[in-house]
Amino acid sequence: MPERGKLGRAAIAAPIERLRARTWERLPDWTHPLIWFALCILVLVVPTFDDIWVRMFFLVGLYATLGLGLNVVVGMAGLLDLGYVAFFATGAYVVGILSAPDSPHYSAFFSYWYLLPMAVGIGALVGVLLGLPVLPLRGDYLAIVTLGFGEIIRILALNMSDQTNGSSGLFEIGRPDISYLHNLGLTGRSTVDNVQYFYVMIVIAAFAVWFVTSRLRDSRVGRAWEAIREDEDAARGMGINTTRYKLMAFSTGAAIGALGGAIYAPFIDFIAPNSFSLLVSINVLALVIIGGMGSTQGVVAGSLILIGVPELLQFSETADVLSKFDWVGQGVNQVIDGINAVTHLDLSTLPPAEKWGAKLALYRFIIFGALLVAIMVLRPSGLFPSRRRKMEFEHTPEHETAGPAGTA
Amino acid sequence: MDGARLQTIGLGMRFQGLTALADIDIDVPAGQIRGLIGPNGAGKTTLFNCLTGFYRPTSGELRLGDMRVDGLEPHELSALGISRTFQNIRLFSNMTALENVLVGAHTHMGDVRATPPAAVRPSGNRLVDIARALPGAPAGAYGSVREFVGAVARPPVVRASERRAVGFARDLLRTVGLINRENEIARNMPYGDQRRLEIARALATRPRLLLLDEPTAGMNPQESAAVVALIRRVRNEFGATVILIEHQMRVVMGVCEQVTVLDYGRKIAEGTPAEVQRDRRVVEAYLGTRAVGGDSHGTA
Repeated sequence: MPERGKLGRAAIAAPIERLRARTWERLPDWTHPLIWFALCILVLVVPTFDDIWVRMFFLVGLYATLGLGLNVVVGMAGLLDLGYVAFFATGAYVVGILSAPDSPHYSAFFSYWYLLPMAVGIGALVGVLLGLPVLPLRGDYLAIVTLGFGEIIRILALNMSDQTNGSSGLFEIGRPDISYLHNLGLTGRSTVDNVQYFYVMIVIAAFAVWFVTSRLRDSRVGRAWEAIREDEDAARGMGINTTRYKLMAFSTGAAIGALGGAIYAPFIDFIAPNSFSLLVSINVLALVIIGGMGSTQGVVAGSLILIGVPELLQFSETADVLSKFDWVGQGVNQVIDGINAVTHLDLSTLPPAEKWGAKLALYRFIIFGALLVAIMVLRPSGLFPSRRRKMEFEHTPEHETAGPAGTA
Repeated sequence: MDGARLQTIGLGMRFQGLTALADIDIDVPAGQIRGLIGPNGAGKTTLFNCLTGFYRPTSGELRLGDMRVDGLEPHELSALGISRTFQNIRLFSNMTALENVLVGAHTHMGDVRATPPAAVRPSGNRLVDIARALPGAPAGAYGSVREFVGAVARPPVVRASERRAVGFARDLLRTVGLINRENEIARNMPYGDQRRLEIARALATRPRLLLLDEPTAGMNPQESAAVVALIRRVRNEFGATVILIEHQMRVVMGVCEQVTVLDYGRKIAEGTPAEVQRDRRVVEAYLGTRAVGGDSHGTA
């Protein structure tokens, strides 16, 4: 820990420490089933909401799936991958190129249900191919190179216009045919073509991915990944073939990313290179970190906040709800007047507080940014630290409480 | 598990003009406890790195039992039975004690080869033969996919091997006296316990040759004595050949049957601890030329 001025620590760090201790640092164990229960209920009632909300929850589910996949690479194996969008794009393009009618490789032969596993398989293969050259790299260097890969895939999609239609993109991507279920009377439609159905699809995918990744985590493979994350040399010395397990991590993460892409493409119905920018990689990484590296609940919570909140702030309903709290606006106005009266600051240029709700959509990223900063200050190891990280947390105070703060 | 003879024949290690090791001939019989001493920078840890595959020796041969093993990767050497601890403890610090030992057991759980190595016909290529003889899951993409599916589907075979590994790991923790700390995060453990956990982790790889790099560094005499007793037990119960780098003469005298002395990357003496302590060149190496002729009191 770097040395900080005594005053700085006392004035800033101490109150934050106190706040941290209060913000359910030790969420009691009995609340966990309740949280899961609430989450399940939420998952079940979402399809009854308005389309715009279902759409939001679809995106939350999609990013949760991607987050679980990236968590394998970053959280478990400790390989910082900033180009995760490459695999997302791979999955989307495999489905798009083979099923969009205006694509040069369109083939009526492939139904979506062939394309989905194909996308996952090709994704896994691309994961191995991109993993091979970066095997000797660690830490920051790995991050930079993977960042480059993310861009390379996007630029390939842009420039290989004979295959991908370049920047004009692919339209009318083939949608999953569920006429079999329809004929059995289980579904009202014969193709997955509205948000509710896509929502169900992403929920199933997310649960499948959750199952696979949690099984992996508690296996010999997961332990090997963790050992590589903790100390690669020691892991090699203990008989772990690091080449093999690193490639397995890349490949698993990539397959999950491609799965997400393969579901996203027919949902959005139009893919172009610009849909696969660096921002996707960053969002996915950010939600893994915000949620708490290595924890499943964390990924879900992270994607709710990271994907849900900006969307939420955009909805007119949110502004409507906020406009009901007049008294807050008046209070804020009085505070502003007060500040104007007492200090030399001129805040009268601000719009009146009751209008702020309506302007929420405009300022949503300011609020969002503040929220992220607040989360990282108050819960540096994420919202729901994984079991292990929580254990670290519970143990550190024992060593530090011996002396006053600042003895570090 | 039983010990294996280790031989190095003319082993050399050069780093771009710097000769770290030259012409090292060492022959450690199976089951011996061998001390490796020498002043700072003599090349002791470099030798360990060569023996474990972290460095690839630039010349010479390395033999384990009757197999020539130089040029192999660390994980292959570990599978063949060479295991080590590190000078500056390198545990998986955010994993529990039990998990640390389980990582050590990695190679010997899961798909263990059906064909015993002896039954495989030699292919003529040394590396191919070794690769075939390695325990653990089958190599290559097929093995990876198989392991992946096994981990996700968790069939009875996998569950059973996991259970066996946990039992084995607990036995080892009991051996080193850490059984009541099995769920503690490694980095929260006291220093001495970390050293012992590292030994347990190394034992989990079922070593035929165990390399200990300063196992008593930073310990008080009582802790050192406990480690010495542990090393002896390891040899007697697990039968492994042990080589240890050590600076405390008390430990060297107490536990080593033979001692090899390195200085400036060369072997300068070898023999029983008492012989080595009287050796003129050893005293020179430690204390300088002028000290020779006075009484040689060892290097404690």
